Amino acid sequence: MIDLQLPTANSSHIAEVLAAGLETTVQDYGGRRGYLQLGIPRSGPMDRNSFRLGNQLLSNPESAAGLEIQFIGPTLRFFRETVIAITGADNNPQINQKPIPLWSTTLVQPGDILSFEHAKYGARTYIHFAGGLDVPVVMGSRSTFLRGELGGLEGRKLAAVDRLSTCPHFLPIKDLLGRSLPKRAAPKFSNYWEVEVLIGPHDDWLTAEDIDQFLTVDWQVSAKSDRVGYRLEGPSFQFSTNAHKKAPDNGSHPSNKIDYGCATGAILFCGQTPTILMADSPSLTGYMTPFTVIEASLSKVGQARPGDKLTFKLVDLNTAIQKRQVAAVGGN
Amino acid sequence: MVYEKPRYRPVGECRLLVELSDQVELVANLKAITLAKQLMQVCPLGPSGIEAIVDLIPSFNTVLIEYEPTLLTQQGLIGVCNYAFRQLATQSDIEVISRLIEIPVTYNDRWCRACFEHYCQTIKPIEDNLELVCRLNGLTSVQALIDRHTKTEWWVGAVGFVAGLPTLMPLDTTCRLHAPKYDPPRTWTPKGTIGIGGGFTTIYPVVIPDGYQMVGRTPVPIFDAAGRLSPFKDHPLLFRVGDRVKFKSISEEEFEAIEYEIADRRYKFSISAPEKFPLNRYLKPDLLKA
Repeated sequence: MIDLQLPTANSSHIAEVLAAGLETTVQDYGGRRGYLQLGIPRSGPMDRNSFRLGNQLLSNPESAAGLEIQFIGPTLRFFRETVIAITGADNNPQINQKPIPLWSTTLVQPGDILSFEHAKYGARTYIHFAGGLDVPVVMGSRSTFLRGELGGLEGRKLAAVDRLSTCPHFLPIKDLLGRSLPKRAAPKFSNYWEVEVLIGPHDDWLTAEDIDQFLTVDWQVSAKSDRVGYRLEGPSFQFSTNAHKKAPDNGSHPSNKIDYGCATGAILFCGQTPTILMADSPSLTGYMTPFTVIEASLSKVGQARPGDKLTFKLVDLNTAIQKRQVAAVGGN
Repeated sequence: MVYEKPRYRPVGECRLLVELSDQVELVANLKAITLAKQLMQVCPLGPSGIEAIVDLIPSFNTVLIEYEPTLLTQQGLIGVCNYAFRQLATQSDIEVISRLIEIPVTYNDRWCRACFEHYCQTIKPIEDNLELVCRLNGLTSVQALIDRHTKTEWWVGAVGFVAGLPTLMPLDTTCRLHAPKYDPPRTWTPKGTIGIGGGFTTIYPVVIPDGYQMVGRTPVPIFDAAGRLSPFKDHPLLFRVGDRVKFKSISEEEFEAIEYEIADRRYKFSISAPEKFPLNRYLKPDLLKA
């Protein structure tokens, strides 16, 4: 049975989805905190830094939800006049096939069509709407967790014919126009990313040579990378005596460990494959974690594309805490 | 063995992994669960009313603590953990709140067989999952496997990975079943699949890739974020750490009947009232009979 009658736009709809893109999801900056004990990850944008700047441009609350685009963007048609801002990877956004700038506010009119091409650098682009997207708050967040089928738009990625609604915005449209971020304030994009890490929790399962090797070689981002985790391609490791001579409960491979709690930023060694847990991370793992990405560097990893190179730089706890604080108040 | 003092392993700047033992044992698991609960009570609020401890994941021999480093330093948190651990050590018994939950299972079901056949056709041919588990555990028939799997109560040692997936260990250790994981892992597993891997049993709450051997399937949902069914009204997960699971063998017809009842919200979950589960009762089962 095919129902050809499409729903009509009601006054709360701001736009409809003409094409969904590869994996377009609703996300918000804070995501879910405190639900890892239930197996529910933080979620939220993979590049929180770019995301937050978009909300700032529109004077949205920090908790306002926007869309995360992965590689291939959606096509949207607007029903009402509003203001949007595009941040993140530059995939040549266009209104009615005319380019619009990133890191700026843009006026859209009823009937306008927003579309994207491909980004050369970076993996994720964000669309922000004045007021933020209006979807139900689930466990304190509007973010989509695809594997748990919760949050966002019915727990799934966008599909053609979906309609989007926004929350009220308090500043009049004219006050939101003509804003843009100074060039120096926008994050830098490349295909080579230096990521800062703290050592541990299980560095005693690697040899000193293993640790040196991890911190000196260029790692290539595998095509098998997504919002759950990034797999890295590079050389193999020996693992220390601790990893080879351990209680059998841990499992047979040197990288195997009795299941323990884990979260975003952990660099698991899944056999010989280092895997960085990202926004939709599992909450338990059976693989050891010799390094952890500091919070302030996660946005860079979230923008790395398959084939990009990552290098890791060791920092100390105080540096990590300071950078986390700077990132929380809007620095880069 | 449970360590005399916990080992502290920092995980980045806002998490700490507290390691209590180097092996899987019920004592360590009960201590991990109790430590997590005590930390929530000792340290629920920071000075500004914001939670200093944000999240806690107890597992078999560890507790992962997520905290707010601007409200509580790593050293401060270690001090709090040492204090809570010392209190645990002086207790004569450890008890956690536990419920007994019955889970109906169709063993050797058609849905897992279809998934298995898909794997054999698209990835590589492998041994039938039930035959493999029987062979590795000295069982002569699928019925003997079902008998062993349904005989013991299974302890919920950890909940997580994704959406409330429980990792279960048998309280009757003679019922332990060992099996290797798929290599490479499956790209999908039917929702509700009962899996056996390592010495553990699990139940898949949603369709996910993974590698435990598939032995059956339950029609009962264990994750319901929308709170549609009565056990999920206040909590999206069916299981909490410290609960016990008893599996009950049902036919495919009964499976489908329960599916209908669940769709109509008529299904009655079999969940006992919460009761105290003391470690001593498990360590000295003879005392119970006396």
